[in-house]
Amino acid sequence: MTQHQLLILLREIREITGSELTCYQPDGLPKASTTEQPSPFSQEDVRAFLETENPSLLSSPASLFRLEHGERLYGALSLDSHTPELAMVGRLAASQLSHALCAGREALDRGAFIRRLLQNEIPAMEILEIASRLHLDAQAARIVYLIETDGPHDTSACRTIRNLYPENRQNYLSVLDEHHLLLVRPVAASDTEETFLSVAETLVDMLSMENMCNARVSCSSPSSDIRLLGQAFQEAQSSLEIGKIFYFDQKVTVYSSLGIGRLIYQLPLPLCRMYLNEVFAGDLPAIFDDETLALIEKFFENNLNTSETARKLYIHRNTLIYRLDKIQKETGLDVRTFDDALTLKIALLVRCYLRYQEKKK
Amino acid sequence: MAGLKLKGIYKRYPNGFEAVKDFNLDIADKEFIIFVGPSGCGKSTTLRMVAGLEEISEGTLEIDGKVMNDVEPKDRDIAMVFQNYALYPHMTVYDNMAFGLKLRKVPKDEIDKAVRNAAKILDLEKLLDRKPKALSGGQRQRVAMGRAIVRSPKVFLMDEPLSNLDAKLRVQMRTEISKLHERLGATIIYVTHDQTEAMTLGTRIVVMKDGVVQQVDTPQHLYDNPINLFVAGFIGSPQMNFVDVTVKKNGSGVDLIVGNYVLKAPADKAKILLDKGYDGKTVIMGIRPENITDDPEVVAESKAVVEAKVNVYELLGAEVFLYFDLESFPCTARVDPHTASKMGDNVKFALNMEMTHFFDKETELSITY
Repeated sequence: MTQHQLLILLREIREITGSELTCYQPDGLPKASTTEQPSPFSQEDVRAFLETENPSLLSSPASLFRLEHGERLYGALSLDSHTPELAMVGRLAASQLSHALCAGREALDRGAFIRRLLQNEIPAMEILEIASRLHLDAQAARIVYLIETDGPHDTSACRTIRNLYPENRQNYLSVLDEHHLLLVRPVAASDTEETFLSVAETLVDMLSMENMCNARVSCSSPSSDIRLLGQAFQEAQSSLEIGKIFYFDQKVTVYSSLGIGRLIYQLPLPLCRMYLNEVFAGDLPAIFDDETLALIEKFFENNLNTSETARKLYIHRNTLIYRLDKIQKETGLDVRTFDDALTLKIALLVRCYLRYQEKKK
Repeated sequence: MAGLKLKGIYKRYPNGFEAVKDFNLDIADKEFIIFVGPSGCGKSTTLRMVAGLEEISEGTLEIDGKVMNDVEPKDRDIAMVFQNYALYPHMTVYDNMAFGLKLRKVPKDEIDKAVRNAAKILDLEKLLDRKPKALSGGQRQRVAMGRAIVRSPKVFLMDEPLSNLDAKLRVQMRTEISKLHERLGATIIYVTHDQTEAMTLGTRIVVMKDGVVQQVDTPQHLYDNPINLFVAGFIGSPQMNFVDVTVKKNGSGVDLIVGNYVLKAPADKAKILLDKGYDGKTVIMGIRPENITDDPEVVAESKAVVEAKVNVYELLGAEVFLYFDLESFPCTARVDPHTASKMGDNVKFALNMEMTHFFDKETELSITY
């Protein structure tokens, strides 16, 4: 909040309360006042009051009220009033002023700016202006990492990441909720997908080692303009979700390498259900228990090679053939042929997606 | 320190894929156990299940006699060193090592004692005030180890901690870790895909493939007596040579026929081959490169000699690898560096048949184990 805005606000409060007001900084020096008279309190008086952590100091000829919001101290406010309602009036004025100072500070805070930017809360035309005011290079390339922890993370996870990538004009870390942290990092011209992957893997391993916490990390593709950070955040979000649905054994997912999972993720749910209906005439047949699903996965992994799959599953080739025949009998799909294998592969991925969505509901 | 018991451990993903299957292992106190295998074989997943970072789908994990399946990772009294470690750039070595303990709100004097003790073990005492950028790669790695040591855990879990280092530093750090194990007297579980690391560090090695434990043994026993074709091929560099041979009974002995060559199987192995009904069948014969020589004196006295053209000659200083085809089966011989054999030469090689291994062609299991 500018000096002028603060003075306007103090004068408005004077209009209502009839008292002269002075606003002090946390170091005790006056910041703005409605009167040209000398300040009723010395710097030492104000500092001594702020150290007591009391909400107010009622005295004559003026009283002091603490300006605080959350854990942030903004200073103190003095009122020269002798009315019996002084305590109430003073606290109301202090509360009003604290909120205004907090909002003003948020507008100029780099962290708050990026947070609002990621959530697309800032009009496009204002982004460049605010970025310039905050000395942020609008044209610098940046990448968004989204970190999800299994259990609720405590402040220690945040401390680990903050110490790895100290916050400055380049790195920005934010706590989104008790399971998610967000890191914005600069991208150098020489950085490749391997670099991003390496940062993401370091985040996973460091959280495991230092905080004993299992984490999954996704990263967006690099954004070349600060105005595109919101889009990068959305990429990181969908990358994390797609990873959880289709690549559950991977701790790190990169938006640019999501493969077929990304395609299926974008399909409307009714279309997915329609496809499953078409392939299986309803839900997955009972034959697809865990063992059969593992067998099919292994068969796909080994490029539909029965001998190799049988060897890897430690079963006789004839046993595998018998089981594949059984699948064909139940579903009409002969997974030894490319077309049917493709149909089943997509159907299983679609089913994976539907189950995830149902679970989420 | 503590012992561990893994009983019938499985890791199953929602699509039915089993990353680890029926993993059973008893790890004694102070043991240095290595999980080795190709990527995707389930070794890291098993380690992460021990750490509590991955849920165990089935089976029981015990540390020090207590079931740990539902115990939070931070309460398992373990410390981890993973592949992608990083040091905090703005902190000194001391603070880097103390950071984990500070997060746990350990009293300052205890932190100081733990850090100085770890620094002494790791020979980092003189570097405690330095920042990471002023350290060499090896020193940084030691600091990363230090962060685990300060916790004085019951079990150390290491997942490919050396894989980001260059070859020279890896060898150096391998020795350091080995010394560290002796000094700490710690129980260590170490994951690697590098069989040299496995052979040099471990008191016992667990070879894994496709989520299944193939063999658990001491490095030497594993090398001398592989249980199947995979273990035989995976352990040893260059890897064991494999040649298809037909078993043919000849009197009380056994002839092994490969193309135009007839090799005599050693008496003990011949008996096993006959007893197990392999007469007339094709089996896979394995022989390590060091058991094939082109030394003229040995060749002159040997009854198992083959002749082949040297395709590649590779001088490594202390030894030479000669690559040749034995009846279309690619083979390698590890020979004396002063050998007269050169690329393109037709060379007579003597095979030490006493050191051969035989594997079933279908099951790939060792016949003579």
